[in-house]
Amino acid sequence: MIGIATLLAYALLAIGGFCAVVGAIGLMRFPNYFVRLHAATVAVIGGSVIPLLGLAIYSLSIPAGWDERALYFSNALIIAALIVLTSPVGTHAMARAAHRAGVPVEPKVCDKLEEASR
Amino acid sequence: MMLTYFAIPLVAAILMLMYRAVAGPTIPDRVLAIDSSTSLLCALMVLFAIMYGVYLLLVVAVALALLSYIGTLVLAKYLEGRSVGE
Amino acid sequence: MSASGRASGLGKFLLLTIFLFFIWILLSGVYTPRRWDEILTGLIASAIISAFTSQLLIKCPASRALNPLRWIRGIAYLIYYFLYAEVRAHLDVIYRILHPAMPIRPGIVSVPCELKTDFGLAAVACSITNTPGTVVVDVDERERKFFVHWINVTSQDEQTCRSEISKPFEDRLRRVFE
Repeated sequence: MIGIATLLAYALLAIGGFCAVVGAIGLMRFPNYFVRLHAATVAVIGGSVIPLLGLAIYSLSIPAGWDERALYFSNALIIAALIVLTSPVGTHAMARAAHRAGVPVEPKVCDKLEEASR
Repeated sequence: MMLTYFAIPLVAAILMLMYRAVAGPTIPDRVLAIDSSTSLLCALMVLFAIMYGVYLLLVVAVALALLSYIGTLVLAKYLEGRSVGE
Repeated sequence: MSASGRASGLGKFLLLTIFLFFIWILLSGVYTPRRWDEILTGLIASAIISAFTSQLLIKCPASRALNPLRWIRGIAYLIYYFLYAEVRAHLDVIYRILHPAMPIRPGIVSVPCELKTDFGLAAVACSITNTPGTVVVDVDERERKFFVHWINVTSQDEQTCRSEISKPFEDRLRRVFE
């Protein structure tokens, strides 16, 4: 018999897998580095944080002792929080370095940063 | 076991990201693909830890999440001073 | 050091010790006092680390950081952010990825920000970067301006961009950090 918590965990895992595949497709389709950043955000936040939350819920119903369940639950939550906190910093640092190193922004509508730093 | 089927899209996404890491025209593209695949790998490691009951994989996942962030920052600092050519 | 300064230093020390000990409990997965040696090790380690770094890590007075009203507002912001802003941005970008014609209009626009504290500025920048569709490329700290790469540029005017990108985050975070 499957409980409501397990069904919720399965739903979160399915959404996360869909987001991961769509983000990877976007990383292959998009034309330049700066547009690919958005697809990578979908792959990171949607594709690994949501499955980690689903796994945290799932681990509460595995056949093991309460100590082991609590260990899996809290570690999954900590890894999700680490990814949420550190991924924007890495993305921003890499985007800044790429713009300063001259990675092309084409195709573009406007580039206010290039106008401001000129 | 049901969790096996949820590992398939994550592995497929990592394989597609590896295509971008090999073919990416500039260095930031490769770094971006490897960074994203590392955080997907963290989720996959926690999934395998719960599936097989190996809690030592959780420790590896925490260390991996921290180390990929530091690696991205170091590469960004390294790239900031030089131009990225073909 | 004056008496009030010493009390403030003690508050910072206790705050950081409790935070680090909480993380230790979560990471080690020991919730019962049956394994008291692990809990004692965590308490001693977090006290030593916090004694060395509490003055560096916590800048504002401890009474301000402990204000429960700010914590309630922060949790309300997190619920709004993950259940509404993230979901909306994800659906938008997933639609753009899967559409065969790929309807994107990328560009870098400048967005002014009115928050005064560094923590507020960093929180707004992280919120903007963590939603798909907008990435902060550079920060002008003197003029308090973000340069945001936007996947669908509808306007190049600064105030219009601000109301589209950062206004909802800014209004909620101002009541948390200032």
